[in-house]
Amino acid sequence: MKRVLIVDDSATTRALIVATIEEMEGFETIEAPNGFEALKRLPQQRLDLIVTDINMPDINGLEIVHFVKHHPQYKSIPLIIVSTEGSEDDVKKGLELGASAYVKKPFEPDVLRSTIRQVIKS
Amino acid sequence: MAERRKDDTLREFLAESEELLETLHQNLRVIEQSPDPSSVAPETLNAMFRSAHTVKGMSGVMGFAAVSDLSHSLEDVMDRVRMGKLAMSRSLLDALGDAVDMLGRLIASSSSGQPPADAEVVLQRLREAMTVQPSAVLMERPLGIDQEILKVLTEYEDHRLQENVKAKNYLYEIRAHFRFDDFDKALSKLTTKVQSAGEVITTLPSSGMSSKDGIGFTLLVGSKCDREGLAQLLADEVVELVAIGGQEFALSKTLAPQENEAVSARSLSQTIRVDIARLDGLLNMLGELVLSKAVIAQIAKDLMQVGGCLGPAMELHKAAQSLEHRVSGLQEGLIEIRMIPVAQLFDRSIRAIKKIARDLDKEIQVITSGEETKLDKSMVESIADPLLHLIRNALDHGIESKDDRRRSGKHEVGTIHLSAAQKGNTVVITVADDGAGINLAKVYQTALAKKLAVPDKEYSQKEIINFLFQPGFSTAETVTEMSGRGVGLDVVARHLAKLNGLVEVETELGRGTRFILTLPITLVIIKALIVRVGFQIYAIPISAVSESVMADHRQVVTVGRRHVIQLRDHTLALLRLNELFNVASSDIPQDRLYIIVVGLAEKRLGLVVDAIEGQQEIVIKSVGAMLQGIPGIAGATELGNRKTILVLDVGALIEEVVGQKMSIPLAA
Repeated sequence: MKRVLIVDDSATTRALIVATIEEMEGFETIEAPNGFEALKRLPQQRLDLIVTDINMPDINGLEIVHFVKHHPQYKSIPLIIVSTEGSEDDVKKGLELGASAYVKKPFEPDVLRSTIRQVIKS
Repeated sequence: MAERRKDDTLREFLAESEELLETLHQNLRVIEQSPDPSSVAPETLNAMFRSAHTVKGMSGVMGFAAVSDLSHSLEDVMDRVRMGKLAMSRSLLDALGDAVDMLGRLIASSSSGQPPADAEVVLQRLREAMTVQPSAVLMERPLGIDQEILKVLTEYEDHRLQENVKAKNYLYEIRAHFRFDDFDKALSKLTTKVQSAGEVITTLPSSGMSSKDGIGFTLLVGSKCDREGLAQLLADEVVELVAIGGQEFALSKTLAPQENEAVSARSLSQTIRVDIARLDGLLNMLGELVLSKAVIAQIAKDLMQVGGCLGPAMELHKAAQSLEHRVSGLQEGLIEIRMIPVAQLFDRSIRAIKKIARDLDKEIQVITSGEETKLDKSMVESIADPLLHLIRNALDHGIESKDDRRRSGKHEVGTIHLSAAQKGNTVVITVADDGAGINLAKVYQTALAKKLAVPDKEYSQKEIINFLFQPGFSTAETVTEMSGRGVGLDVVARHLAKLNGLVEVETELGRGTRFILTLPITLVIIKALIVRVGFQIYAIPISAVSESVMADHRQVVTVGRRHVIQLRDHTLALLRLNELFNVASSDIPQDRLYIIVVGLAEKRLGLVVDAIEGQQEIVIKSVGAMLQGIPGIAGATELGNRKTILVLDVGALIEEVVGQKMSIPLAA
């Protein structure tokens, strides 16, 4: 079972990402409504992937990517940024910081699923 | 996606949109109230951007194109404003206000599957705002900031950093280390403290400093405070304070973070959202507990009467008392959770006032007070429409045209005062205007013409006002004719009655009118007057009771086919509950009558009962199918002695008696 952490401050968006991922065989999801909760989830269980929004209060997506990619224990967990267009520079920074992929919001469920498969395989 | 999941997601979407719209409105109001819209706090602008951004994201994934398009435009405008590329102005504020209103309408129509409203005008205004050329932004980056931080700054954070440099603020890095299990609380506390002296530009969790059971954070801060001032502010915190461009020094307190956690800290992540239906369920359960508590208290009382205040009986009594104490604590806590400040209601009203005033070409200033007064969420929802009705009346018929106001020596700008205050178990909301007041002579004339008033009879001021609340009192032409109130006030009164509330009016010709709404704080658990009629016991919601009086039966006279009594300066219609519910009255000689005066606006009704048994908190439950639809019954409740009793629906009783729809026993 692959475990995916979904970080987004919109409950609606989280619900739709969860629904999209759970349609795939062999995946389960956990959710975090903000950066703080995301950081708290990290040591609680093994994670295979993190899907995160960028624009969130307190701790944003870029900071999560930075933290994960600099942490000796977590740096191997791949991250996918799911964010709306309009913040290209922020997305670029996220990829530079070590995120594996970017999926534009609103997303096509198929696009998100195939991106996840690709990222997890590599 | 499974159907159920879809429904759940839609519900989630609606709840979330409602919150985000509220945030947008609140922040618009903050900007509106600031003396200079172009110098609003960056957090306010950023909060608006974030809300629009989130609505865009979630409506996009839901496939609501109209919502997504409008929130996208809103986001674009707010992005420019927060990045300092577009100045906030009154006209832009108006456009944003209309856009947010339209967004609310689009969300409602999209989620209910209706065709979206035409948002083109609103969109066009936003586009026009965007045609202003963004001013060139000069990039200035101070030396000495940790490269790792710069790599992670979002565009907006970068902009905030530059604004701080431009404002010649001191820049600091504050490094802190917290225990892992409650770092969010500790960090929020630190952030709040720092924000009192400056701006937290970014918060970077730094894994380099993290040990196995802790986590480090670096805050980039801009402040007018010099290093010494900031150090003093942070004297209780275990942090490292680095002035950027200067040398670092650590605060030397040796307090361990573990000992530092007692101070309360509010964190956004500490809040959860709960469906109000779940709270209803919990309250219902609590209602059962309240009943069990009453049963136990009753048993204890009975035991003490039999066996005296000794031994187990006394112990049980004490235990029952302590149970009572805790249950009421629990009850208060649960009700408190449902409470929201009326500020939300006022915000909505102010938006409506602005819009109506614009349509009527009247200039209005709104004064609010007591916005922090709290009311049950479902009560706030139920009261929104009647309140709007009163406001519309005040603007339409109360406040005069600019010319008229000038002529009568008033300020051209009319004033509407919305206020709220808690009084015991009730909340009083008033809508006051400084308009023309109600012309009572004309109201009387109209009442005569409509045969609501009897010629040659003298009416008190209150009785004349009472006509305003009669169904069918006002029509369009009477309204214009008397330039007064009356449009659908009967509807308002009926609505209030349903909520066990009251509406009263005070008016002075030429000076203005004040509507006073009295509402119970919650509808879930209410205080009730327990009355006896024959061998039957009934509960009457206390918020609907204005007084109880004892009268001699010889005071009762028959007018038309109705029993009435003269109570001070007005005539009170009586309703004998024993006849209404067809129960045998007690054998006690009826030379004295107990009359419970229930009032709905100026319409009052005297309920004749045999005895008043006391007051009690009750939880209203709906009655079974057998009793449903019986006029005058709101529901049932249980008393401590496990007896189920009926709760009277005061609003319906008055409505039925006044409207004479019910076949109530009238005088022969």
